Formats: sequence, C-alpha cells, structure tokens
Amino acid sequence: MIFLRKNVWNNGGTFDNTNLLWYAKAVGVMKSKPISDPTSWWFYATIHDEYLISLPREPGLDYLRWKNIASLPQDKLAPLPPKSQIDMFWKQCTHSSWFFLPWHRGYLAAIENILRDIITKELGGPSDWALPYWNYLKVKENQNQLPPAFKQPLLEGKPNPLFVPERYGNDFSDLNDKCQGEISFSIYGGPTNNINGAIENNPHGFGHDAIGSNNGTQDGIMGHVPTAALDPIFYLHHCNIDRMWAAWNQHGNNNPTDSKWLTSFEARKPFAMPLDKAGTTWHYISKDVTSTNIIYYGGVPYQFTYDDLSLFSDAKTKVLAPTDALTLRLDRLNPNLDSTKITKKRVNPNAELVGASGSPLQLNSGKTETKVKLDTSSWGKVGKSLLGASATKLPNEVYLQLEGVKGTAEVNILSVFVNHELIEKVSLFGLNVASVSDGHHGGAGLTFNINITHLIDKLHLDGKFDVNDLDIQIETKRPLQVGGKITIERIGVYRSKQ
Amino acid sequence: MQLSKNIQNAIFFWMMGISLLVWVLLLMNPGNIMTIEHCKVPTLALCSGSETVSEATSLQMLLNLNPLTSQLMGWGVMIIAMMLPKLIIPIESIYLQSLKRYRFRFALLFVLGYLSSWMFAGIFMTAIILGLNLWFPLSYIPAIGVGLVAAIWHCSPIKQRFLNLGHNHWNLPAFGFPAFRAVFFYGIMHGVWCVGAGWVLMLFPMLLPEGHYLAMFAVTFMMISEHLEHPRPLRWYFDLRLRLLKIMIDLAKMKLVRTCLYDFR
Repeated sequence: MIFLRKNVWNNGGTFDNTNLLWYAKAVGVMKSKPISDPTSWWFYATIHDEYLISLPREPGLDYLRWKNIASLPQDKLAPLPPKSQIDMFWKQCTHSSWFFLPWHRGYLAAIENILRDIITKELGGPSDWALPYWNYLKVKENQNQLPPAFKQPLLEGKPNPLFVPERYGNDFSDLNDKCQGEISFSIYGGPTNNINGAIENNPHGFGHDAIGSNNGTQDGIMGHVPTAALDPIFYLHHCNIDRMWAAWNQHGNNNPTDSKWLTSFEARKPFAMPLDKAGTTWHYISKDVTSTNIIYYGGVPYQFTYDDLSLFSDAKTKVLAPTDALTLRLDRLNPNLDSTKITKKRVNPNAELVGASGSPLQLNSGKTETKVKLDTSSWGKVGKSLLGASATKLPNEVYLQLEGVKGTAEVNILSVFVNHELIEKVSLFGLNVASVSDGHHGGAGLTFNINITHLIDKLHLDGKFDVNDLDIQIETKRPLQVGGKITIERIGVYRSKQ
Repeated sequence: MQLSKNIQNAIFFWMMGISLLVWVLLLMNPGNIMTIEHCKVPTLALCSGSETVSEATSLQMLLNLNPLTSQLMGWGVMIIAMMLPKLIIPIESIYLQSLKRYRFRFALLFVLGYLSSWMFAGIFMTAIILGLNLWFPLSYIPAIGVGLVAAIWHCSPIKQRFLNLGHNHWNLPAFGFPAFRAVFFYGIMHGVWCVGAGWVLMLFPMLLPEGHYLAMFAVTFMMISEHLEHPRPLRWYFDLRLRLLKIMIDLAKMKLVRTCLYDFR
C-alpha cells in the first residue's frame, strides 16, 4: 500500500479535515502515555533533542527546561526510561548537516506508524491514514498561517492536543522555496556533515523561527532544537520539508552517491527509532530513505507519497530552470555566444578560497559592518573565467560563506548585504546547540553558504571587478536580548569551478 | 563549500600511505628503536659482572643499550604511524579554508605543530618507559598498572573533554603571518587535545615485554574509533568507544539482513 500524505489546509485547516482530526486524537493518546513508554509523545520529542536531563547553555534560557514549560504535564515526564533506551534513542537530530533530510524522513515515518497504529487499533480510524503536511508557501491560498485547528484551545470540550500556548509568532513573510531551484545536493541539502543546506535554512529554519519567535520575554518552543518536537505543528512542518525534498528528486535532481552519506558513516549516532512500547529498534541509514519508498522499515518495505509534488509553491519565487538560468547568465557575460550549444550545467563541487575577513565579527543589534579582503591572484582567476565564459568553459560561481556563527541569540534572522545589496537571509535555528563545545557540533557553530554569483557578474559587467575587498553588512531582524550574543568567526569568499 | 573529490582522495591516500609505510618501518624495528633492550641475564647486576651495582649504574647501562635519541626517534615514528589517519579531517578543513598557494604549507605546519606536542609529551613518556623498565625489567607489572590507569582514564569526563576539543576545527585567518602562526598553533593545540585523550593508551603497548605491535595496532584502532565518536556531555562513560567496530558490525548486519529480504542496493 502507498500511503498518501495530504495538505493540512484541506477543509480550511479545521477539524472538518478528518485527516487532521485523527492526528489530533492520536496525538492525545500519545500524550497520555508516560515518557518511559517509547511510543509516548514525550519520548518521541526527546529523540529530536531535549532539555529534560540536559541543560540549556545559558541560564537565561532556563524557562525552556521541560520542567519549567507550563503546558507540559510534569507527571508524564517521570520516571525516565532505562539508560540503554536513552543512550540509543534520545538527542539524535541532525542539524547543519547533509543528514538533515534523511534522518528526518525516517523520524517522520516512525511517528507516522505509531500514530496510525493508535488510529486504527485504539481509535477505530482509517487504516490508510497518513501524516498531513503544512505548505506555508501557498501564499496565494492564504496557507501561510497556522491552520485554525492548532489555535483552538478545546476539541470536543476537552483540551485540544494540537494547541500549544508557547507559540508566539505569526509572521511567515520571510519563508520562500528558492532552494528548490538548486541543482546540486551539496547546496540543496548540505555538502558535508557540518554545513547547512539551502532547504535547511529556508523554509525549514525560517519556519521554526516564525512560529518560535519571542513574545517580548520568552522564545516559543518551536524556536529551539531541544523543545521544538514537543509542538504537534513540528511534524507537519517537517512533513512539508520532506515533501519538498521528494518533489526536488521528482524533478530530476539527484541525491549524493558518496558512500559516507549513503551509509550515514559520519552521523553522530546511528539512526534509530523505536517501533513499539518494548523499544524494538528500527536502524536505518540514508540509503534506506533516498526515496519515499523506504526499503527497510522494521523489516518490511514502506511506501508513501504526497498529493502535491510541484517543485515550487510560492508564487513570489522567481527561479529559472537551471539550463535557462545558465543560458541567461552566459548571454549576459558573452553576447556573441551561440547559446544553442549550452546543454546542462555540470555539478562538480570544487571550491577554492579567494578572500576572507580578518578578525571575528561580533554582531550588534541592527547592522554590523566588516570587509572581506580579496586575494589578488585567486580573485584574478574568477575574472579570467568570466572573461572567457563560453558554452564549453563555464564561468566560476562565487559563494560567500559565514563560518563559525556562534552565540546564544537563537531565534533571529540575519540579513546579509554585500556592497549594500541584500543577498540572502539566514535563520539561526540551532545556534545554541551548535555553539556548545560539548555538544555534537563540538562548538563549531553554524556555517552558511550564500551564492553571490549574480552580484559578481554585475561587478564584472559594470567594469568594477578589480576591487580589493567586498563590503559586508549583517543585520539582525530582532534586537539582541540582554546577554544575547552572536559572533561570526570568519566570512570567506569561494569560487566554485563548474 | 566542498573540495573536489580528487583532492579529498589525494589527502586520504597520502596520509594513509605514509602511515602504512611507517608501520612497515616499525615492524622492521631498525636499530631496535621500537623496543627496550635488556641484558639477556636475569638482572642488570649480574650483567655488570659484579654482585651489586647502584641504580645509577643500572640506568647508565640501560641508557647505553637504549640511547634516549633512538627511543625518541622510535616514539616519533610510532606517532606518525598511528596518528596520521586521524589528521585527514583537519587537513581537509585546512585545505578548504586556505588560499590555494598556501594549502600544502599550512597542512605541513599543522602536522609539525601536532607532532611537536606529541614529541614534547614523548620526552616524559620515554622517561616513564625507561624508568619502569629499570625497576621492573621484562615484567608485565608496569603494563598491568598502566592498563588499569588507562581503563579509568578511558571512562573519565576529563578524557571526554579532550576528545570533544579534538572536534573543534578552527576557522583560520587567510592572509600573512597571522595565518601561518594560527595554523601552527592549531596543530599544537590539536596535538595537546590528542595527547590528553590518548597519552595513557600510548604508554600501554610500550610497556609490554612481548606483543606490543599487536597492542599498538589495537590501540590505533581504538583511537581512530573514539575519534569517530561525536562530542558528548562530560560524564563517566563505561563503554569502550569502539565506534568503528560498531559501525562495521552494524553495516554488516544490515547488509546481511537486507540481502535476505531484498537486494541491498
């Protein structure tokens, strides 16, 4: 059987959508179980991350400790499961990593099966039930807001299992699906084990930021990795991310073939999900979940799909097909070119540093400025590639990389300007966890790649290419809270040969 | 950003290749640099021809048979053989974040810094090895004692701290003298964290009267394994940190099970 995941906004995103109603009821059952039960809501949230036995790095975030979150039933959070289960399952989430997409696909498949078991066996619901997804990128249809079913405190006279009071944000205007235009997984899903992919930044990180933003004194629980999976909207948000990945593949883009990715060799923990109350384990690797036809789910094949696999949803997104974008670029750089010879852009990652900032940059609220010094000889190679651009000698692409972004001010967005032109916005979701030296990033912080090729092409065409440095401005969306800190250790500029 | 596959492969094969070559050299043990030579009679005193000799004389004889320079050379060779595979990831990181013309020089400086830390530690380690051999010639007692310390250290939060620090790959300056200084310092500090995590494990094979090549191989496997573990909160961990072995077993098991059910793609 192929399970079909449908849009949560069917029937207006209310409980008239029976798919959503069953989700709410099954979440209620999961929430009624104690954390010692691996099929409980609380146990599943710890699989992502937790502040139950772990502590926030900053005392100022103590309100995010699970024992301090008012809406959590404290009696369900004890006693803890055996240590062997904690070691095996808890705190697995893979952020800022090329395992982000495959790990979360397995996580969704596992909870979907737990929920379906409850729906069919305990609640007498449909056996073809599947997780709904929330496509907040359908702006024209006004789906860029929390579905009404998640906002009402009561369901059938009882507390609504989908309602979470610690959600404060409602500004979804920064979310987009520009990532869907990328053609290389190294940009789309991340190049290695410690760099954000484009989809992980926007819409994933932006979605967390939008729901989890601050209410003036506290961040919402969706804004922080160790609390995010407590919110039932989390799984619908990730279901949409998974849908976008499936659509990206459906439209001819390929996943990595590197054995390190396929075998999940560098993942911080083996991917493991509990299948039942006894904690029977499903071990999986990226290779198992490269398509929505999961090849080995608890010993049997498991298939699902989505009712909408369009590449783009956002009417505002203006992204050309890769070949068209390349043709346009080459036409601009070399008007005499015979564009009929251009076939397909090659994807062959080979990066080389061409410039970097000096000392680490400490950000203030609002804008902070710095310069990236360019290396004359390396920068010259970029110039040569632009001058000699042809259908067979593709010009370099140029990337700005924010390296070692660390700090404590997690729920925020940075706008990145190069030579006073807005280039990209990045979400800091996961900043705290990535900055902890004893955390799974080893304190390396977050790293973001930003394609600035169009800006460099413009410099070249305007005859302003021979510069010694680039002006960089970084602007925080929200003022830093008292004690909140963000530093960027280095800003690098790289050329990528095609 | 990402290095080309060719560069990644080149770094891998050079580091593994040099390590393997040096392993061969180790096994050949030229000039007995890898072993502590003792008299072929039960005690040093008898060896000297007199019934009693002072400890100073015994030490002098031991040093004559095992000059400090050759012991340190043996130590250095052992470090290169055992540790180079652990430097593949930091060297890839240095290559990626450096200007192309500096890549090799920076990698070399990093390795030199790293080896300096181990060689500095080696002075003390060699002294301990010689001292224990002086007091307990051809005995398993020092190895057992150090093995116990190694077991306690292995589980301790202090070792976990050093292992965590070893995962901190620095963002380096790109230009001028500060870049050279930073990469060398990075190498030294990476070496310090590595010494902190592995010093007592490295002592163990050197104190075994026999079978120390086998022990060295086991220790290398263990150190690469624990290097593959991600950073963890600081507390006591009563596991062997044999991640490499676990991964190999898990993958083999998964492959076996799936081959029975489906074709393992």
